[in-house]
Amino acid sequence: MKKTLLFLFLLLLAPLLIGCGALYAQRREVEQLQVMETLGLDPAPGGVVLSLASSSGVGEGKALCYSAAGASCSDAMDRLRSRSLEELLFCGHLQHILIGEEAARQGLDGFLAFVCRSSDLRLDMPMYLVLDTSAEDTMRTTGAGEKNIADALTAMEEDRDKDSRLSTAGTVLRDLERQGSSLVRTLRVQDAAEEDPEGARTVVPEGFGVLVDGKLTATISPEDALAVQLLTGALSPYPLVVYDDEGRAVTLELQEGSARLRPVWGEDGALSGLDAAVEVRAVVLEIDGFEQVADEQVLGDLNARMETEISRRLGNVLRLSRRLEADFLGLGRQLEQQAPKRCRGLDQELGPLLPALSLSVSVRGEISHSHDIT
Amino acid sequence: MNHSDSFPQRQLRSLCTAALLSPILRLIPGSAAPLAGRAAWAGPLAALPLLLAYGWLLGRVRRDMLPGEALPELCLRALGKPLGRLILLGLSAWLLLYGGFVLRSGAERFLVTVYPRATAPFFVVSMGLLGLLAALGPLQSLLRAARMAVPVLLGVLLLILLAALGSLDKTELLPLTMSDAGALLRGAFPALDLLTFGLAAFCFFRPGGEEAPGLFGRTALWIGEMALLLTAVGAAVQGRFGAALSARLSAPFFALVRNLVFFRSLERMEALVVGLWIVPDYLLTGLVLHGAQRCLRQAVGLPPKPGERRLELSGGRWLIGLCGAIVICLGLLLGPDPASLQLWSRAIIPLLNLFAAALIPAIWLIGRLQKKL
Repeated sequence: MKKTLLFLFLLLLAPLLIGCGALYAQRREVEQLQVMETLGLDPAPGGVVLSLASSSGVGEGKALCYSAAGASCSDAMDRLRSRSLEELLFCGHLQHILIGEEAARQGLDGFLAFVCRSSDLRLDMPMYLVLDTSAEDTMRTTGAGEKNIADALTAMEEDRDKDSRLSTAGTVLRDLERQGSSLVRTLRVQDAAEEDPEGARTVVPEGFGVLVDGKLTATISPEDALAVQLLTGALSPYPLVVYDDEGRAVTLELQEGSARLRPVWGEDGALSGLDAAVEVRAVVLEIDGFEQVADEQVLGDLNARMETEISRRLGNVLRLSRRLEADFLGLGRQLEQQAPKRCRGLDQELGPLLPALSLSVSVRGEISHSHDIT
Repeated sequence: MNHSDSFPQRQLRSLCTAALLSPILRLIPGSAAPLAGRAAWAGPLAALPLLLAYGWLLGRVRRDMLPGEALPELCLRALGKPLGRLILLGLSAWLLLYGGFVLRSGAERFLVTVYPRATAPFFVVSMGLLGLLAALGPLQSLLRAARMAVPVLLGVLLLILLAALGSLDKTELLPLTMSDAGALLRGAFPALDLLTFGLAAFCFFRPGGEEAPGLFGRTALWIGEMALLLTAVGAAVQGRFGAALSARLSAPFFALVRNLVFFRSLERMEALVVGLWIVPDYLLTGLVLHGAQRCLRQAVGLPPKPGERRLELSGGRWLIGLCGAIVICLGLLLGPDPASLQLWSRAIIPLLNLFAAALIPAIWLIGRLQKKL
C-alpha cells in the first residue's frame, strides 16, 4: 500500500518535471519566440556590434534582423534581447556565424571565448568571414522578401557540405589553440544582376581567411582555395578550367584528390623540407567545339595542364604559409601522422620552422573519362 | 551486523559506478589534457596497473575486517581508540569537504551549461537537502536507487558516445609513441583519483555475508570496465575538440553534447543530460554523507546501530543532520569564482582524495604490524 501511494505521489509530481514551470525557465509560448539563425560580429568604437537575423517565415513571414552595440559580446547580446518589442529573441538554434572583415582584422579571441561561454551558441556552428563589408550590412541587405542571409548560408552549406565543415567556431578555436593559426571560410556579397531588377543580393563563397593569433592576416583567393581543400583532405567536386594549345577553355571537374606530405631530413637529422605529393582524379566536363577528348594524346595533354595548374596553386598556398610562418593548413599534424617519432611536436611547432624549409610539390593527375559527345 | 543492514557487494559497485559518473564528466578529459596533451584520453588505461594493485590491497584490508565491521570499526581496532578516533575525524572531515565540493561543482555544471543567469546557492542547498534525506535513510535505499539509475545513466552515456563517434578526428588522439610514456603517466592522475575514491568507498561499508571467493576478480573487472568508460569519454571529447581546447573548456563533455545533432533535426539536448546528471550528484552526495556520518559517529563513540529510523535523532543520529549542514555550508563557501573552483577541482580535491585513499592501506598496515588485525 505504501509503495502504491508513493508511486501515485511520484506520478502526480511527474508533470512538474517537464521543465515548463522550472524556477529559472524563460517560459514562453512558441509563437512568442523569434527563432534567430545567424549571428554577426562587427567592431564598434570601444566594443562590438552583434547582429541577429531570424530564419525566414518568422514574424508574419518576414525575415528580421536586429543589431546592437555593446562594450562586449555579452553586453551587446543583452541589448539585442531587448530590441524585440513583443517577442523573445530565441538564440538556442543559431546556425551560422558571420564575421565582418574589420572585426576579423582586429582579432577574434574575445568573440571565440564568448562562443565557448555562451549557453546559446554551439562550437560546431559554421563560421564565415565576409570580405570588404560588415556582417551587419551583409545580414541586412542579403535576400529579399521572406528569404535572408540564413537561407543563403543554409543553401550554400547544403551545396558544399564537406567544404563548409572546414571552418566552424570549434575548428577555428581548436587550431588556434594548437598551432596558433587557422583557416576560416570567406564569403563575398554579390549584388543582384543588373538585368534582373527583382533579383536578390546574396553571398557567394570566396576562398579562405588566414587567422594568425586570432587576427585575420591574409586571404586565400577562390582559385587557391582548391589547394587548401587538397592539402586539408576536404575536396568537394571542383570545376577547374585549363586551356588547350589553341587557347580553348576546357572545364575539368576534380572529383577526388588527396595530398600526402613527406618530411625531408637534412644530413644533420633535422627537418629540412617538405614534399607534398598530390593525386587527383578528374573528368572532362566541357570543351569548346567537338574535340575528340577520348583521344589519349588529348587527354594526356589536358592532364599535364591540369597538373601544372594545380601545382601552381599548391605552391601559392604553401608559400603563403611559409611567409606568414603559420601552419594554418595543419601540415605539422599531417607530418606527425606520417612519422610519429621523428615529427613529434610538429603539430604545434611547424609554423616558425617553415621559412627555413624547402618546399616541393608534385601532382599526379588522372582524367578518368569524359562526357564525350562523339 | 543486523541482517537488514546487509547488502550484496555488486550493489555497492553499482552505487559507486553511478556516483562516479558525476566527477567523471567533470574531470575527463579536461583535467588530464593539460598534464598529458594528446595522450590524455589514454590516461585511464595507463592507470590500470596501479588501480589493480590498489584494488588488491583493499581486498586484503577487507579480508581482515571482522563480520559486521567496516573501515571505521577496523580503524579503531587497528590504531587504538585515541589515534583511531583522530584518524576517523580526519576521514570524516575529508568526506564532508568532498561532499561540499560535489554540491558546488554540480551547481556549477548547471550554471555553465543551462542556467547562466542563475546562482549556485539554489542548486547547492536543494541537492544538499536531497543528500541529507538519503543519509538519514538506510544505505540500502541509496543502493536500490543506484541499481535503477545505472542502466539509464550508462545507456544515455553510451548513446552520446556513439553519436560522437561520427565526428571523431583520430589525429587528435593518435599517434602515441614511446616518447608519450611520461605524458601518459601524468594523464593517469585523474583516473587514479576517481577510481581510487570509488575503491576506497567500498571500504566504508560492509556488504553482508562472508567475502565470496573471486572478490578480487570482480573488483578487477569493475576497475577494467570503469577504465574503459573513462577512456571512451576522454576519446570522444578529445577527438572532437583536441587536447588544448578540451583543457580550456569548463565542461567539455557537455559542450560535446550541445554540439550533437541526431538525424539532422534533434539537437540541444544538453539540458536533458545535465538534468539527468542530478542523479549521480544525489548518489555521490548521499554516499559521501553516509561515509562521513559513520566515521564521525564512531569517532565520538556513538556508532550507528542496525534498524535506525529515518527521523530518529537519538544515539548520535543528530550528527547526520550536522554533517548535512556542514556539507551544505561548504558547498556555499567553496570555489566562489570559476578560477578557485578550477583549483579545487583539478588540484586540491584530487590530492586530498589520493591522500585519503593512501591512508586506508596505511591504517591496515599499522594494524598488521602491531598484530591488532
